[in-house]
Amino acid sequence: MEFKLAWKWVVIAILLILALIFPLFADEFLVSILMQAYLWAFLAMSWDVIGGYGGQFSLGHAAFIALGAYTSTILLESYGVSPWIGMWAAGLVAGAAGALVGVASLRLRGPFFALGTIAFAELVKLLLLYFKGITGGPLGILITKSGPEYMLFESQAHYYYLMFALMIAGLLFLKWFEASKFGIGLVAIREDEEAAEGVGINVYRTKVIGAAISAFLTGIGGTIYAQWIHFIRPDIIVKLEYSTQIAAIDVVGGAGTPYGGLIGALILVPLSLYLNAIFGGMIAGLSLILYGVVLLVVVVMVPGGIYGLVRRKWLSRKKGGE
Amino acid sequence: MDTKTWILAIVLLIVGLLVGYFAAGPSQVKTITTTKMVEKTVTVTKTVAGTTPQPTQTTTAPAKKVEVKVGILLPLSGGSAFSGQEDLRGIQLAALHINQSKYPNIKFTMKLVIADTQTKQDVAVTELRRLAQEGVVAIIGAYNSAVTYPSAAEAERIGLPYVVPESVSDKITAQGWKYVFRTCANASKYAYDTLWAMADIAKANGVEVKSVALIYENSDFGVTTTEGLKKYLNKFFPNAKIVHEESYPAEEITSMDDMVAKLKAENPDIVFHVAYLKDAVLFVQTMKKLNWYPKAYVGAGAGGQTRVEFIEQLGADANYAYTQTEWQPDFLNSKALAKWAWINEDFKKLYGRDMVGSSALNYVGTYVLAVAIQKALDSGANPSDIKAFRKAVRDALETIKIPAGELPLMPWGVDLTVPNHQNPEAAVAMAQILEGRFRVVWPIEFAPVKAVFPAPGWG
Amino acid sequence: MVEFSAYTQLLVSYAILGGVYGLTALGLSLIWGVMKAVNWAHGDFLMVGMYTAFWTVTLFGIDPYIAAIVAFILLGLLGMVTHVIAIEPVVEKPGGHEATLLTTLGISVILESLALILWSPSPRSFQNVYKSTYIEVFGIRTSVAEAIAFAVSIVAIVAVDQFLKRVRIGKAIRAVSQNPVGARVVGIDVPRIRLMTFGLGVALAGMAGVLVATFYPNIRPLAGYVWDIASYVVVIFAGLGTIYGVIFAGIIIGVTEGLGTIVFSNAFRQILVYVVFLTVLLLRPQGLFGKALRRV
Repeated sequence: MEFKLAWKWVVIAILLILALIFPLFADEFLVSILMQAYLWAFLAMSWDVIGGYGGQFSLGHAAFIALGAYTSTILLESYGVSPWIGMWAAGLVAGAAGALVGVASLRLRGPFFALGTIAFAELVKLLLLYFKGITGGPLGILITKSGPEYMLFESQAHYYYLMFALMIAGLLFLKWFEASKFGIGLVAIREDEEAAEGVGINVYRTKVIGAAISAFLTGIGGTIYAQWIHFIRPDIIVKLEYSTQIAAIDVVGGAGTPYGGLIGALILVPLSLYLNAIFGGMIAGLSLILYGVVLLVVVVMVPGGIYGLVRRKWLSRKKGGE
Repeated sequence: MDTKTWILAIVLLIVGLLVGYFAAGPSQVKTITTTKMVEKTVTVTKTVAGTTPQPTQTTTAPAKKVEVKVGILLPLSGGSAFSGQEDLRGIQLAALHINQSKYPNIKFTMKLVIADTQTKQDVAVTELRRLAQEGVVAIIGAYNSAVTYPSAAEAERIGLPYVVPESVSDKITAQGWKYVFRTCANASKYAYDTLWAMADIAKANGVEVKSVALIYENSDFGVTTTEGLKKYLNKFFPNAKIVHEESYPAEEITSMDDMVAKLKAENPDIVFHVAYLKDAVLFVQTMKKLNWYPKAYVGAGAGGQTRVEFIEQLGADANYAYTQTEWQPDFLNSKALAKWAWINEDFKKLYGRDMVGSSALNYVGTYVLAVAIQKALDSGANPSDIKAFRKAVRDALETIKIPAGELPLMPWGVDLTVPNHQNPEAAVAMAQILEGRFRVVWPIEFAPVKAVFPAPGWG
Repeated sequence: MVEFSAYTQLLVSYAILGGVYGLTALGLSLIWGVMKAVNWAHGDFLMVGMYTAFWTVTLFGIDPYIAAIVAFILLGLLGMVTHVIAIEPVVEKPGGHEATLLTTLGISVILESLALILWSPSPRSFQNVYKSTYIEVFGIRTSVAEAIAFAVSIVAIVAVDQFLKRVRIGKAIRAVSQNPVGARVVGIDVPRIRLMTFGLGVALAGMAGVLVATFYPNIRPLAGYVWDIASYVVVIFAGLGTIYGVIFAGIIIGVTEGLGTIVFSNAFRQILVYVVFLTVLLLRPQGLFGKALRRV
């Protein structure tokens, strides 16, 4: 038993070291792919709080990315506030919006909630477009500052470590969250709302706070995204494609588990970016077909996601061994 | 979970990859030699159409030609795919001509490394990294201003020259970037030339313009162009009033009856419309349905109205619409530009129809870059030291000055010595659709026909 | 300012547009209502319908309205194939809603990219006289294509309603929609009924695609998107399990949208649409015409 535990830590340590020295031997293209995988992993983990543990299938998370990105970027470009501080404000703004969505989740179920969140995201996009004075409207905002004190780096490797740290933070948070009283309450509500109410869980509060937490984290992810891409515009950041990608990553990896987001992102993001690099110049669109096929195959054939599959295999082997 | 499903999933994936690999031609996966690829297309067209023998024979280059890689970032899939693919045609033809030594002043071989942005900014930035990794000396791209913008910022950071042949947003050259160069006009200039052209045309026809309306799609393209129109309106039409101004979301619009009804009530003399294709077609269709037509319906910004599909979809209803256009075959009838007719001939052989504005713009952008690369080579820079060579290309781009008449296809010249790297000489012509064809009506020296103004309406 | 006669013109124009919204939403509503599954690829089936029209009209020179029948059949088959691949394996499992959302998302991506590769991104169009022939009644003009689309929309909705009420399979579909467990108990082959429903829903989408293409420009791989949004809004407004509700909701939305733009600008109109949409969704999740939902 102890022997096994030690092995687990050795494997984790090796993976960590590999991830940390990756930028030293890989080229910048691979670094930027893996870096984006971490970012999407973090976003998918944020989504997991409400989408996986909470069982509320949100398709509006791009709105929280946008709210986070806009908050910190406006603070940075108009007021000179560093995103190291601005990201918390970004999280709060997104979190407040998330609480609204949480209130909506009390009334809407299943596909209705999904559609409601899509409409919510569209509304956020339109409002960002409409209030030109603050947001720059359809012209967007370009980040013109530079320097690490503004979370702006010269090389992709720096962003790589930033996203890596973010992803690890997300992972640790979910690990903790899963075992926390609050997290257990959220899962209980997902499984059976009436029963959860019966054992004294405050459904209203739990759902609203759950959604707020999810949005808070996504908002921080939005800040980091903006810092990396340097340019935000409502129509390119509030994309339904992004909302669905976040959900798809988490479900493919395994929703409602701490590792789902990471596994899903490590499969889907490099797959789509790398396939695009191979085929994009010749048969544009082919990479998307393969992406669609993988999504379809995993969702149909591997319910519970890749992590669920691995864990089932693992458990059955353990049982067989005993 | 049974293993069967796993096997199926993996087999599917492999089959997909194989299909893609072989459909793309098994010899080259990552990069394409333009010469080869285009020639392949030529043979295909030949066998299909059974046309006469092709003159596009590569005069096998003298052995010691230097090969230089150039990265192409374009939206080949996603929302702007049809524009991106048209742009690519212009670039590939330019590279083909360069490699065939059609330009005696350019002596190296240009190898294109093509990347698809999927019309997404993060994909573009990632692909830019890949192109940099593959050793391209410069980038040409990226059609959508929203994609050009962050990818150009990234190129600036890496120190990779970035030539913008078609994105018009003013901001791209307003950042003081050292590595970014724009050969085409910016949105303000498009607006300026629209008004200039219409003022000239109105004067020539003795019509006084008292009222105008501005209709535009509400993204970067429409908004910046319209800002320019508003800024310069009274310079060209001192007595004109804006009687109506309205923007709309081009992607989501299902009906434009309301806008046309409002315009019909206000009855402005000229409607300036900054639009993509679908909304432009829908607008004209709706004007016909509501039986109203202004004295002039003008497509500003060379957007949807300048596409051949605009005429295809509207048929005779497209007649009398004005549109800005960067290039039309009409140019080749003028004395100054007749010498470039062979380029369009080659284009026709490859793709079965005339060049259009966007392919011509990209052709020119590629040519300008090639001239700069040649200059860098001449200065003794070593292309195998990629970092220094990029710097040399950048420095060469900054000294580029091609007078009007020497630049292929276009009536204007290129001057990148200005501090912001925005070619001040680029200009935009005005065409009117007459008898189902785009006819250049301004500038007058390139105009084979006279504009019909005011338009006769639906009759 | 806009005159009174212009208002009536707009009213009619937008009512017609709303009718078309109803038609595009019909297939979506049917599928959603019966199997509680959202067909994310709905807009892409519309797109395939448009291309069917384009190819049959340009290759065989037949009338676009015959192409609508071709599209109905072809898309019906395509729908059934899709159902077997993407819906049936997941629809009954826990989390089925979410799973169908994602599998149809996969189908949507595949269809769009296939269309891009096979048919190129160039916008297509086919010539038809209906688009540029106009009817004028009391000074109100509309194109024949739009008038026919509206008429077909009404006919299709009545036909689907009658089919559900009078034909045996239709009755079975209704039974499954109202109570899948009960339906199984009385011996209805539920998976087969689901297959039929999905096929019918997609076939209707295909037909709607053809009719839209007769008057709305631009057949291209992403052409379904704009009608997709309209369809979702209509289905939510109408509520599930109501067929006539779809057309009423369509017309209400069309007219509000049109008149809204006279009062507000186009820039603000959309904000208004979504605010109203969210309000209806939150206050009356069962829609304007739907029956109260059980808690799912």
